[in-house]
Amino acid sequence: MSAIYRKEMKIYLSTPFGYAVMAVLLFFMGVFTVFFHFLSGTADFSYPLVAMEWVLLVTVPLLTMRSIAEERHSQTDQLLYSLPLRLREIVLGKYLAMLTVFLLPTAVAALYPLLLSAFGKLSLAAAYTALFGYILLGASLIAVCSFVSSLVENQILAAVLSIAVSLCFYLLDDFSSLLPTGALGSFLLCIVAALLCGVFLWRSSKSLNLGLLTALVLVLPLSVLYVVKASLFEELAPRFANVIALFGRFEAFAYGHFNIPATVLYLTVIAFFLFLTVRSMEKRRIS
Amino acid sequence: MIEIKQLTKHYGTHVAVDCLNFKINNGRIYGFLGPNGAGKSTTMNMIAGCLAPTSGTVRINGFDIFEEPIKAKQCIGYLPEKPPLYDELTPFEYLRFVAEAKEVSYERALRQVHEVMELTQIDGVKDRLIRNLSKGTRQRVGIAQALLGNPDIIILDEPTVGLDPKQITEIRALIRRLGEIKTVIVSSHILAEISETCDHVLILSEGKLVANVPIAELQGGSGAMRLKLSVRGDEEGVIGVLSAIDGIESCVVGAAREVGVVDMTLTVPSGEDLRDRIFFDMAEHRYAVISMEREEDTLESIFLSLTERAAEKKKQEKRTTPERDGEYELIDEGKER
Repeated sequence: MSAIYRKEMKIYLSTPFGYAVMAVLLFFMGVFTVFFHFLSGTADFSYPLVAMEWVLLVTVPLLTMRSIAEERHSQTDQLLYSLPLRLREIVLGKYLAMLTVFLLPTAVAALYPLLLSAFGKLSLAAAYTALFGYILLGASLIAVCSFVSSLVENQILAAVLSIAVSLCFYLLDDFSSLLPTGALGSFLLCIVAALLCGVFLWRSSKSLNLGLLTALVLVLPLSVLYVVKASLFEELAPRFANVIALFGRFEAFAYGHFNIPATVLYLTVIAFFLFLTVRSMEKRRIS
Repeated sequence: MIEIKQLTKHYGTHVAVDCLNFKINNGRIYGFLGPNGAGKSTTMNMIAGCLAPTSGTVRINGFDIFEEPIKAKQCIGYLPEKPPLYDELTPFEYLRFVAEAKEVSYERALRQVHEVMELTQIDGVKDRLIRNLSKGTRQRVGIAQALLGNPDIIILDEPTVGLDPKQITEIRALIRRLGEIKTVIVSSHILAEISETCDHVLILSEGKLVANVPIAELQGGSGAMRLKLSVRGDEEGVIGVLSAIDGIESCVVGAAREVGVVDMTLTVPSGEDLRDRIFFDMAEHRYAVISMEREEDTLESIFLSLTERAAEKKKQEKRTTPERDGEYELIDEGKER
């Protein structure tokens, strides 16, 4: 894994690409800090971080677009497959390198609250809690966009799709009110999700039995649960959408509250999408 | 040693590799030969662990490539058809990355990188970006990465494709040098390449193994002898003399190049040398033998006859074998000779 990490860092730092991403992040962080703290006189460090959400929507897909798509395009993935490395080591090495590129400008931004506190009253605890949430948000977006990059061969397509997926996560909080609130609607959405899981496993492992078994294992308990206690499904879909809205969960940190459920959610999203990336690379080896 | 059993790869209903069975022993240069689309690259990708087979097993030095991939891959160095190079790195950086990924310790990695750069003669360009290197040099960098980690087996997929004649000669010489210390498997659709560099040849056609023989044996051909004969005389009389000689299976008369001279090609299936007999019989009947030349089976003719025969057989199988669940019936054809 360390070899992959070092190779990725070498590529990011020996080309203008990595510097460009870091420069954009630093530039906007600086602009928002000046705007909110010096021009508007706000004493809350979460303001520039919340404004950075829009910058992340574009820069993270740009950072991740070449991650796996480019390996496929230039057929260097054949080298990775032939090396005595596990796929999870490859994915993790690449992920950690992208995270480092994201964290380097964030580390500079971490000095801002200290500097700002010299000019007025600023809650450092609230500022660093917000920064922690911002890092978790960025880290989970990188995992989501890495997975998107593993699905396609074209970097530009990977970037466009990643922006679209990130935007969906951004809007999920607002659109959750449009989802069905009744028990039947939520139950049907759960069944569709279970079937999609089965199809994904079938396509990625080429084993129809595994796909069917997974779908069955998920659908059966859900059906039994619905028959026994349908009220459990009431408002499940909008509540679930609220839970997985990555940008919405950041709000809790922005208010200066350390939120354990949101932290667990971010870490789960990272682990889940890295797992999907490994499966996606495995599928390429099988097909 | 590589041991392949019942190796099969399907892409949908297309059978790319069809039930291969063979062994590759240590210390020789093996050639994978076959026309484009014969399944060479697919087979090599499966041996290197880059592609999972539909069924069958690949064991490298006793380790199954899919059950114990790390141990199996440590025994292999693989150069795919397109060298997997990172344009943003220099050869030295690239090779260091591969050495580290092959879990070679830092000091050993540095030593090995310098050794393979010297062996592949790329130390002069080690600090230039890979994107600025010529195709031949890029190929050398690709071969160098395959050598790192000191694997027992080196697999090179069409290593000379797209190179100029000088580069081809250099890469062939390098492969021969490697063959002295490693087991090397080279694939190509160019026969001359295989016959020049390899000790043993495996011919694939339509995903099946149609020959698995030492190159010298393949050059020995089918055992039949063909004679090109030019005789001054009338065609009817000349053929009459030949028909009296036992052992001649066929006599094909070609277009006459000279008036009054019959040009023909004779086939002697047993391989018996009938040249003296033909000469004296012709002389006895007052026909002058202008020229008589033994025609050797060329590698090209053997290769074409083997691959065409396999393709024809497959077509017949498709016609006669009913499809089951969209897949063709697998027939164990690839037994080692």
